[in-house]
Formats: sequence, structure tokens, C-alpha cells
Amino acid sequence: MRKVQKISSNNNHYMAFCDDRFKINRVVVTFVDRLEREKNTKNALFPMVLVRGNNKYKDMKEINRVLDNMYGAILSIDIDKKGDLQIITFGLSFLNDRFAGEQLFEKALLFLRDIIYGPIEYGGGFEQEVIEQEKNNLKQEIESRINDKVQYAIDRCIEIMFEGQSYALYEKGNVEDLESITKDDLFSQYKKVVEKKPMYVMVYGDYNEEYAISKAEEVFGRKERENIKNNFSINIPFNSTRYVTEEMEVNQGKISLGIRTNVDTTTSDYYKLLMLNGILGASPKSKLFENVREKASLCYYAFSRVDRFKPVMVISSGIEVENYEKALNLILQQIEDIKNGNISDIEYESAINYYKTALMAIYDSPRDLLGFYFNQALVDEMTEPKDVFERLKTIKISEIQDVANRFELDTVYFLRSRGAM
Amino acid sequence: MERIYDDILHEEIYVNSYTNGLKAFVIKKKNFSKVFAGYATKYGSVDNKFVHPKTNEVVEVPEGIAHFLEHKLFEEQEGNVFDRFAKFGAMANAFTSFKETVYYFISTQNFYENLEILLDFVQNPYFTDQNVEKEKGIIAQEIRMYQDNPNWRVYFNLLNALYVNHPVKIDIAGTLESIQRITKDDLYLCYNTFYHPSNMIIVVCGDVEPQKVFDMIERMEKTKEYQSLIERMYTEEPPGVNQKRIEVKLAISNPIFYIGFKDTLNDLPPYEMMMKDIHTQILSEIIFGKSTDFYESLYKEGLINQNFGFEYTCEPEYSFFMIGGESKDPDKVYERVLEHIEDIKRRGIDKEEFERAKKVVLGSHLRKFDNPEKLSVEFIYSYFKGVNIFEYVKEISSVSFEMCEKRLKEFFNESTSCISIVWPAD
Repeated sequence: MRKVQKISSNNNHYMAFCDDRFKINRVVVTFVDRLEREKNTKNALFPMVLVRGNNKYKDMKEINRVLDNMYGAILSIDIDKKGDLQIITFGLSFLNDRFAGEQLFEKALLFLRDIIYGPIEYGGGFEQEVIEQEKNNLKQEIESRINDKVQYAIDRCIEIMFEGQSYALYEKGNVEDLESITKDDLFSQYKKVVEKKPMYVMVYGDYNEEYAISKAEEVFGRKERENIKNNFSINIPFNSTRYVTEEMEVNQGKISLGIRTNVDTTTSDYYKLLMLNGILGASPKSKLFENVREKASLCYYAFSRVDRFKPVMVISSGIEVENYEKALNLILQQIEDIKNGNISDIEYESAINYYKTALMAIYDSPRDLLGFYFNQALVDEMTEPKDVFERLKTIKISEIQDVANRFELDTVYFLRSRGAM
Repeated sequence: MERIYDDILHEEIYVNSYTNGLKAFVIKKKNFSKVFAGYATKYGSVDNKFVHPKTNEVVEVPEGIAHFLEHKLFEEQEGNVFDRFAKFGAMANAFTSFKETVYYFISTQNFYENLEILLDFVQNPYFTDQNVEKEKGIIAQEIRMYQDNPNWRVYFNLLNALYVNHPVKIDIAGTLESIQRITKDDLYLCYNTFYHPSNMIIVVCGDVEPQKVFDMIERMEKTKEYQSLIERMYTEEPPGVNQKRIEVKLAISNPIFYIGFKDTLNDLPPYEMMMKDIHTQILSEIIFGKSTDFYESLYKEGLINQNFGFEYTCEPEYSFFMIGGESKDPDKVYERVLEHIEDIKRRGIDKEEFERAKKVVLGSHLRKFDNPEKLSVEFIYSYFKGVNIFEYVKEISSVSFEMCEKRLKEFFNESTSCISIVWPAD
């Protein structure tokens, strides 16, 4: 794989990755905005309206026909949260020219531009009827968060932990805010984002890299854009652990622990935290898997996750409601063990090997690779997956212990079934 | 060792057969950093009743046993297999589906050491009364987790509505009750029957040396003698559906639904099965695809959203088509789907739509070749059906308009359809 990168002073970022191993190429255009209550719902809504058509492609059917004719190209919208940032991504994956028997790259770039900038370039704005339909779809999407109980319990834990802070906001917005969004509000927020906010254009495919990057730049241009940075700190003082229980019609209880790691993830301490995470609940021989699942037989899953953009760790497991105390104590015991340096060779090795496999596997997935470099760009680091592994290898047990000793258990959230305990 | 190169797909595959009936495949992926290796047995959740190869007696075992066995095979006398994989940095796991169980690892280092572990542990079961009991707690939590998953529930409820007798309707993990009945002896019995080399294949996908892989397998194979084919028994399945409608309430926000069509044209030779599968995929793209007026109008009316989708499952003993997603009014969608099918049957299909649908289906299959894991799993599924995935992709281009028209006439009938709905609990 060959890589070219261009970052301009005015926040237009271009990256090209050229590789002939794949049958599918990928183009991604991402905008970054601050995650704030007054606009997060609008930012989630306008991409949904854009893919409904514009003056060039009059409706979804026309858009989908173009995609179908590109051998079932897939147009996707992703709305993410990274720290206090809201990330809006338009992605297009399409068949490599060699297999399509025709040139699709330039077609794909132009098509994506027509989707994103169509309403501005071809005039016409948004249609009220389409806005109403998509408001309804977005409402359903936000409401359907409760369908996935594992993720829901994690999200609720974060919401409680960060109450009043922007990190507590859901990346796709709030149902209460939807109603009041007018056509003009939405259009003006849309224009602000696609014309003024930092833009990242990333292409992955079987081309000459100079050609790919200059073509992408030619199509998406260079506008004067704002500089937006993430806030990596938590911003709320820690008093004592909060215990919150909520009830729902569920078969299995879900426990989520929100931990303040007190680790500055923009420094090399982040790598110590990563190793801790591997040992605690990410690797196949992690303490949580081994002791909560395998030995105590309390659950089917128990894992931990760290955030690159906030000093937070979340631990999650699904248990019988009556085992709440037992499971909570056992989970906390695993952290205590790490604090005391009680880490076996196999646990350490398993974590390091887990990361090696996970990091090297990134090279085999264009989607993962683009995601990796985008995250790196947001933290102003330009390390490669393999460099991350090199850094992890140097982490000592005492450093992991040191990180564990900074932990503060902020919130314990329990989603349980209705009725007596 | 045999080498097959496909100059349309630019894919290379090596095959080796062993005297005990085992077959191994290496799908070469040059310059990939990760390697997938899967050890698969043609044994899944539907194989609950079979003829014992030694005693010739009919045996019936508790539901969920194939999945239970999958969990237990990771256990060893000295601990569990993850200890050994962890040392060499592989991510190991397994899954059980209706018709197969696959043990696999993904590694980016120490490939041959990891392969040795895979070959070793799958051939060495270690079950005790105690470790079997312990697993019941874990599997019970797995079953409970799926009971809270609305997508899983709507899917299995649909299968329950479609099938009267066939065990495809049973949850892969079994029930909280059935797993309690599973004993160490049941596990050994099923292991000894279905984990014979003649019922298994090994697939490796990545930048590895085929000969070295095949040699290692040769050296590690424990069983040397051949075993005859296993006779599986399924109660006869009537052509009609079990029930027209199935509903349940869960803690969700909006109704979720699947509409199913039961395919009665089963038990065909592998090539015909493959063609039926391709025809149905192209046809369903023409009828329900995202670029149809049908999709556009349902979407605009707010009856469906972006989650709307469809899928065809094609196996020798059971085939079914399902379409669904989220809707405020699932019954209305059902009505519209049936109306639309009748309309298409009257009007016939459009040539241009047919060409476009072919492109979509081709593209979606080519995508699978970029992911060693997906490709290998797809390869295993196809192989056990008697189909080669490479041939499969090539056949898509050969499909004629007339073949799809013919398929339209024989499939998608109201009488063999049903609906499964999960409603939000009050």
C-alpha cells in the first residue's frame, strides 16, 4: 500500500491510499463539527435529506439507479461522536475498474459531490415534505436505541456520567429538538457544515496515488474552513460513585460501569491505558472473560472499552438480576488486582498479541484503515498501526499499575427487569 | 495438491484431499497481513436426529447440542485453548449455524503455530460432568441475551411460522430447558459421529504457503480410517406454512417485522440449487430493490425506512425468502408486498431492470472476496451445499432473462407466505 497525504492550513485534508489487493474501492468525505445541543440534531438530519435527492437526481430512485449501475455501489451516511466532536461522514464504496470493466473512480467522486453539494450547486434547497419524512425516520432511529440493550446500557451510563456536558449528547440528536427544526434552519446549518467546517476527503483504491489525490482535490476543492479541536478533559469534578438502576421489560440484566481513567489520551499514557484495557477486558484471556465468565459462570459476555477522545473506560456485562452484587464485586476485584500488579504472564502476553493481531489486521480492511487514519488525524498523530504496536510492546507492568491507580469509579448503571429483586 | 486459478476473479485456490476423507483448501491472498483458518464440520443445530454409524440405531439428542459442543471443545485438561492461542497471538473463536460448526482463528503472526493448535484442539475433546455443568450457566446467559434481541426474536419467530416440523425453526442454542438435559455422554456421541474427517473441511485464506499447510494437516490428522456418510433424519415437512402470523411484545420503540415466503422447490442437485439461488436473488432485486418504484413509494409513505431489506436462504431441505425491517404498520406492508408481486406477475419483468439487478447481485458477491473471513465462511457454506463459490460468481453473468421469468412464476406465492411481528411493549 502506498499513501499520500495533504493537509492544508485551511483545514481541507486529503489522503489517498493506493493498493491493488481489493475488488472494492472506497471514497469517504467527512465533516467535523462541535457536538452541541443546538445543532447535533440538525447535523444528523441534513445528510438524510441530502440522500433523498436534489435538482440533479430528483429522488431516491434516481440516486439508487446510479448506484445500481455502478455494480451495486453503496452510499452510506455515518454520524459519530468522538469526544466533544460530531462527525458526519458520507461514504461510497464501488467496484474496482478492473472488475467493472469501466472507469468508476471519477464517476464516484462526482456522484458523491453531487449528493453533498447538489442542493447548493444545482439550487432548489430542501423540500418540506422530504424534511418531514426524514424527521420521522430520524425520530424512529433515535427511539430505537433501546432495541440494542447492551449498547443502550452503555449509552445510559455515559449520559448519567456526563450530565450537562456535550459528551452526554447522542450523536444523532434528540427527539425533542426535531419538531422545531424549520426548513431554513436546516438549510443554513447544512451550508455551514459543508462549506465552513473541517473536511477530510479520503480515497482508497487501485490507482496512481498522485492522480487519485489531485482528482479528489479537483472535485472537492479548497474552501476556507474553521479549525475545530476536541476537548479531551472531563470537566466535572468527581465526588463519589453514583449508583443508578433503571427498569425495563428485559430477560437479562445489563450492568455498565463508567470509570474516569484520569489519563490524558493525547500523551503516551494512552498506550499504557490501552494495555490495561487489553488485560482487563479486551483480549481473549482478559481478566473479565476469565474470571467473570469462565470461572464464575456469571455471564456470556464481559468486556471493557476505552475512548480515544475522552478519559473514560466502560465495562459492560449481561447477568442474572439476582447476581448483581456478586458480578459487580467480581468486576471491581479485577481492577484491584491490576492495581496490585497481579497480572500474569499469560494475561500480559495475550493483551499484547491481541493488539498486534487487531492492529495488523487494519491493513487488510480499507474501511478500518481509513477510520484509523482519520482518528490519528484528529489527535494530530501520524503513527501507523504497526507503530502503535511498537509502543505497546514497551509498556511495563508497573506503568499499567500506575494507570489503574488513577481510576475513579464514577457511575454504576444497572438495567434490570421489572419486579422484586 | 491441485491449483485452480480464476482469471476473471483473479483468485487462486489450492486443494488437497486426504485418504480419511478430509479436504483442505488454501485461498491465496497475496500481501494480506492477516490469515484466516477455519476447521469446519457439517454439523449444526438442525442435526438432532440421526442414525448412529456404529450401532445403526436412531438417536435423538437435546436441542442446542451442536452449539453446546462448540462451547465445550475449547476446554482442555490443562485449562482452555485460549491459553495456547494467546501465546501465539491469534484471535480464536467458533460459531454454530443451522448446518455447520466452524472453529477458526485469525492471526497476523505465528500462523503455523496457531494452525497446529487449531488442528489439535478440534481433534481432542475433553468433557467432564463438572465442565459440562459449568457451561450451562454461560449458555443460559447467551440464550437470555438473544431473547432480549428483537432482531433475533423476529427472525426465529418467522422460522417458527414458516416451518411445521423442520428443526431449522429451533433456536441454534436450544432452550433454557433443553440445555439442562445435555450430558457429557451426549456430547461425546455427537462428537464421534459428526467430527469425523469425512464430514469436515479445513479452509485457510491468506498469504501462506499451501504445501506447508497441507503437510501440517497430513501430519496432525489423528483419524486414519474412512467413515461412511452420516444419515440425518428430518421429519417430513409439508409444503404449507405452520401459521400465517406470529406476534410478540418486547421493550422496543417501533414495530419490527419479517414477511417470509416458503420455498417448496427443495432437494435439487447442487448445480440446480445454485442456479435457483442466483435466479431468486436477481429476481428479488428486480421486485424489491432500492431503485424500484415499489421501494420509493413505500418509503415516501413512511411505511418503511432505511432498515428495509431482504434475503434468500437456499439449502437442500429448506429454502425461504424474507423481507422486512421497521414499520409503523407491518400489516400494510405485507398487503403491499403481496399486491406488488401479483402486479409484477401480470406485467412481467422489465429487461433494463433485469440487467441492473444482475450488476447489483454480481457486485454484492464480489465484495465478499475482499474479506478473508467472510470469503472463507461463504466458501464453507457453499462447499457443504456442493457448490464452489468461484463458480457461483461466474454463473451470475450467465443468467438469462427467461430463467428469471420462469422463477417468478413458480415462487413468491401468497399461500406459502407469513408474517412475524415484534410489537413494542406498552
